[in-house]
Amino acid sequence: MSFCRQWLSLGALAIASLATPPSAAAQGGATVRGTVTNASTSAPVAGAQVFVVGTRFGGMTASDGRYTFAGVPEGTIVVRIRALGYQPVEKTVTIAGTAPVTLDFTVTSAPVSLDEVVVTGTAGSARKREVGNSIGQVKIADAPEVPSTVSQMLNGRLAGVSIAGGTGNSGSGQAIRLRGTTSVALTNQPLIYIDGVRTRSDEYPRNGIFTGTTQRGANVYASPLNDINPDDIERIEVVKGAAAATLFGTDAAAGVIQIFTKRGQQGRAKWQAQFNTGYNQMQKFGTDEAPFIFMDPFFRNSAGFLENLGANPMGTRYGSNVQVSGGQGENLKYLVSLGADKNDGVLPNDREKKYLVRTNVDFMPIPKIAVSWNSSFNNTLISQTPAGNNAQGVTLNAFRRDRNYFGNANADTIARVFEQQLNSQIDRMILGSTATWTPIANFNSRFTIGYDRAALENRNVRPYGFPAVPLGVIQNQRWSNQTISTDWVNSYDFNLGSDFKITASAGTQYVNSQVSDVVGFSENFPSPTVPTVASGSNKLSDENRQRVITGGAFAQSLFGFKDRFFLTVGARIDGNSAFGKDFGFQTYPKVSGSWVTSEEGFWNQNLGTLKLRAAYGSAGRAPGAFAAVQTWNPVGWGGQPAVRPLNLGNADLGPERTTEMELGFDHSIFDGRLNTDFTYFRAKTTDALFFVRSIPTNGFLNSVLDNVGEMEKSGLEIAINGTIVDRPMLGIQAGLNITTNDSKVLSLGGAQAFSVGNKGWVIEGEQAPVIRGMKIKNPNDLVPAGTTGAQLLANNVENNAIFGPAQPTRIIGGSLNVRTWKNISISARGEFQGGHFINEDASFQAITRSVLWPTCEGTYKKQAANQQLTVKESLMCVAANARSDMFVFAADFFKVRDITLTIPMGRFIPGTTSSSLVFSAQNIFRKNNGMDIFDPEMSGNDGFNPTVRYISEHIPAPAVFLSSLRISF
Amino acid sequence: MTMTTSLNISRRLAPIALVGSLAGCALDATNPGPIQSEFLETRAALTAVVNGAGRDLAEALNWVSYTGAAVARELHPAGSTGSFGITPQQQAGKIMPDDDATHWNLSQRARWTAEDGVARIKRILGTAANNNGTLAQGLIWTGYANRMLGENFCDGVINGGPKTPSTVYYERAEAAFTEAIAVAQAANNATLVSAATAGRASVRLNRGNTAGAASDAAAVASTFAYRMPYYTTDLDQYNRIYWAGANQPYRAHTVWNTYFEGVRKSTRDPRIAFDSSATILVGDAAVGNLGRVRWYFQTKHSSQTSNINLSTGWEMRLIEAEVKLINNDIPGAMALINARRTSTAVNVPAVTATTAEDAWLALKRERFIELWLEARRLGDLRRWTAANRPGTLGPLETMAGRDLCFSTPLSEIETNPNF
Repeated sequence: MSFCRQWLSLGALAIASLATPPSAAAQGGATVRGTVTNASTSAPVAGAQVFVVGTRFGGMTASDGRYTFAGVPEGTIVVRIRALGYQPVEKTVTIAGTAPVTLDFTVTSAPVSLDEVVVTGTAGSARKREVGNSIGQVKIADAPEVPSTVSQMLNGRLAGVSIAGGTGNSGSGQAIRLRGTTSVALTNQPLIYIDGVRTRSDEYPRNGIFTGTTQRGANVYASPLNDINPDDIERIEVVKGAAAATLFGTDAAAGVIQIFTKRGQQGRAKWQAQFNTGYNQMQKFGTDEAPFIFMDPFFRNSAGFLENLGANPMGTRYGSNVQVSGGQGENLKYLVSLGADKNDGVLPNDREKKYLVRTNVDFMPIPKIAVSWNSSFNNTLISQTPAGNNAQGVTLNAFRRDRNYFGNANADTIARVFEQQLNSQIDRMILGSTATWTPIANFNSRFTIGYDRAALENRNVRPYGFPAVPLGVIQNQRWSNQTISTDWVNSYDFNLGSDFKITASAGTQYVNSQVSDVVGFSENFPSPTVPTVASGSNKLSDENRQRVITGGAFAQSLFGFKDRFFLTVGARIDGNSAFGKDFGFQTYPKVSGSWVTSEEGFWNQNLGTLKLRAAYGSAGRAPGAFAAVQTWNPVGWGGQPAVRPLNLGNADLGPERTTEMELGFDHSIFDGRLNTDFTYFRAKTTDALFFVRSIPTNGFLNSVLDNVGEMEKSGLEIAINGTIVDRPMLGIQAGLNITTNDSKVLSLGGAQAFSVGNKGWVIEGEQAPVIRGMKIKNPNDLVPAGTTGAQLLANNVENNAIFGPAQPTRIIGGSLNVRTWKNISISARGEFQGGHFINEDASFQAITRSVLWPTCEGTYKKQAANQQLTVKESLMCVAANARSDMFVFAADFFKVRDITLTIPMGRFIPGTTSSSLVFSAQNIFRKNNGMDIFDPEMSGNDGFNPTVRYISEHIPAPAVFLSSLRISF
Repeated sequence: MTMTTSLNISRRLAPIALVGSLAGCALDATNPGPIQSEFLETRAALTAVVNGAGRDLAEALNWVSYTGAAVARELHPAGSTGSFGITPQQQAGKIMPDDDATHWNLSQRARWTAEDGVARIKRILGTAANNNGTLAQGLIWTGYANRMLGENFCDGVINGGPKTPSTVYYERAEAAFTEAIAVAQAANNATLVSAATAGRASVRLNRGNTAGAASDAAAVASTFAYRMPYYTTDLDQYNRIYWAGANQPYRAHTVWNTYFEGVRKSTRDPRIAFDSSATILVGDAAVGNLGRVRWYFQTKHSSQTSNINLSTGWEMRLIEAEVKLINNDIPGAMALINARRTSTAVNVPAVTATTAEDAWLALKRERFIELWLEARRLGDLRRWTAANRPGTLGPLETMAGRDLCFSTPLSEIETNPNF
């Protein structure tokens, strides 16, 4: 690998050499300025691209809709406006000398614009009309709420995208699933690119203990996605399946999310500042009698100044963000962003502080080469409260009342767990540079090099005198992940006459990812002290390092005819260091087509614009670094060297391949006021990687990854957005997203059905995966007197019954935006998810220990009154009869994701060009249909990203109330 | 061509050259950490291989001794059913197929690792293995792993093969111990010779080779003990019986409501060591309909590092006593039993028996006490039940309705096509 490193170094030098100061840019010329407003509402349109066609002159509108750029030479020019959600508009004007020119534009809504440029999933970039697959887009300007995290921003916004998992603890992340479960053995997190740079998508390690009872912490996992400052984002593109993600090759089967950050525009420096303040508040997650399931005394402020108001589990949060952007002449544009956030959780030790900085620079060091440089750094400090399925955590001991590990429910006694210190520090740096060489009009070559480094310190201290470990324990984990990626794309346009066009593209990608961690652990301090790992008398350490390399090349040709028929064919070939030694390169083909039907002569223009599309393609998912190799584990024994069997290995191991077909259309009617995006997909995973259980008597106990399975999934994604009213004083827009997803395990390749944990099973002919457990057959029948527990179980329980899928099969999201006087608007988003099941283990763990549990209050009253119990009551509320497998529930729910009030204030604040006030309430209402308590979107001890989630002794994510003052000057 | 032009061209070509070079990078990554199998094919790795077999056996013994103790009522549950707890089924003396995968898996891995290690040593050392102490140690782990399987598990399955009687383990154990004796003698290692001899004595008793058992037992001194060590290095290496019962925080079992509670209180027999807390009176959770129960924590295993006996000289005396009872030598048997009871270390009253039934009862109880919490009780009960030995045990010692062995779990049944 030193060879590669040397070349990477040289590459960096090469890029640096390109970054020499620009030659003297053309100075002089005229300044073009103006305002872009919405034709219907007269409201300013922010973020619109304004540029002189055929040149690099241009800019972007500020929040007041104004733009300006300078240096435009004499002559007649065409100025074009492009804004997401609006139809493009252009005007012709003649520049004479240096006299400034004012050009104002009004733009008309057209949420589906076929000329909008997208880049994700295509070689280089393409107009939407040319793309045969669906691409989801979220434009931050369309998100009125105060974004708290990137995950929250995506939640409920796009058909086919679900965000779930996480808990109410500080630093808890959420999992992203695009079109449900793609793999039952590997991660289902999509790939995440930021400005073309491959970044980490899987969770960070939790702050637990590496040896023994590992759950001595908060048992939550942070998400790298939440290191990104939402205020820095301009838009997010989402390709959801293999048909669209083929060119990303191995690892892209679960889809790709690409985040584009804001960039500077020509002209004077423009400042934008945002000041947020608000609070997190725990919402009821128990019964009416026990709304917080005995956690009431342990929330922040429970004994504080709001005590007289009753339980008021809330923590404050505030933050600020300042951005300055601008440009110097034609050749230099910049954006600098600074942010800081402080977020107190609802648990007393929970706090998250973030400091974020970003610098994006675009410049032309020499003619015909444009360079973009992106750098971001994020420092996150997280303090947590011990929780989860942790015998030394607050939630478990509170839930279990007098049957807890303290042997009593006294709040002061349980509160001793707060003495544990759980502190994490995440330093995240993402650097990326893209050089685009355009030597001739028809050819460009784009090279991106990226570096993503996340460094995490988890410090976990149970001090001297801590309950259960009176001599104390400390652990310090230093973990890091670095990903180096390159992406080279070359495109050439062949114009064969006026009707026929071919864009041929080819390139390479290289991703080198390394995860390392070192852990120091010690216990038994000699005295009360502020310890380090050196303080303990018994010390242990651990180290893990894993590197995975993927390299691939791709080629693609886009054939266009009359600018309305498009056919794209392409392929990617990949190698990966985790493939088995007998396994070669993998090829992933793709073909897609689109037809802009509405531009045909036969089309009645009253029917609006319509694009039909179809796509077919493959992508893969590579196994883990060690999966192919037979290995033994160096375990040691009493200080002596020792090894034991670890992984049986598989020399033929390769990636699982997902091949997907998409059919759909994009339709816009009534002058862009009603837009429909419809997609049907069917994906089949062959060579699916399953953990095939080893035969225990053969010594290797771990399951072995093998390409034995076959699965499929299919579904509909329908996004409908409509402008119901669009008048100067009133506008009403509504949106509806409908997603269905059905999956099936077609073959286990001869392997037995296997568990993926948390009651999740992979069974031939069933959804992938399903929840399996004990189904109560006659829940409402009365139990005859004298029935024994054994009889009750034998007569009323179906063992190994299949409840249903672990992932939702139906997601319906709705949004409503009402604009009123002075453009004051209120918007709301809600989402229903259903059709899936989840194991709720916290109730079982309490009930089986004879805890008087809130959901069994009715049963206890019946018992006290000597009344007959029903079968369900007898099984699920009587400790001796309860079984873990019974606690499986339908996970259907409806949630209000956010309600936001936006008040534009124009120039009300002196010295500003515009300002606005935003009030946003997120996650404020939930209605379960199935589970009596808890939040079906919660996760268990194993975090947000397992194949199947379950619910353990956690609190759900709180509601967030935020207000924000946004000013531009 | 001017210098400036050359520089411009080189600037333009730099990215292309870079990418072209990257395309030639090998896509191999050798990761540190786990050891690839071929790296163990060396003499230097043999000690680690045999130690690994020892550790595997230690962990398997940890689980089997703990759950076996619960099922055989050497201990009574005190609450916890999850981590370190005793499941409701196990509390009732039932070992469900879904419950015992861990016990089976760890025990089978211990057997496989030891047998694989022995084969590896012979492959690498050739004839030089014949007097190699590492091989002797590997054979001893092989013998004890097979003995544990034979005493505690219902079915015999070897390396993915078909189901056989569990006596297959005894056959493999005796063969391993016999070879171990020879190798250890050649290696001049007296401790290993005794360990193998004592192990073979117990196996031969189970196989019905009473003469062989007595002969082997007689070769082992009463003061001899061969123990499985435990360590504080990490949780898997803690003595599980200690840790599960300690206030750390599980308090998952108690001596309360067992046969031993009464014996200890009446005789102060030091072999039945347990204690109670003045401040924490009950276990960590409710036990079925009994509610919270008194927490009398055993102290035979008094710390994370308490060893568990694999063989002792006093067990040999009881083997000799059992052989004598089989041969109807009641006085001889009682003399051996009482030799232990009246020894300085124990010093409890001698027991008397004039009938075979009383003598067998005395022997059963003595083994119950002597081998308490050592994963031996289920094997004893199966041996006596199979041979229909006399001597009716008391209510707290009886196994009515309780399982006598760990069944083969689904982890084997569902994966082994030959089962």
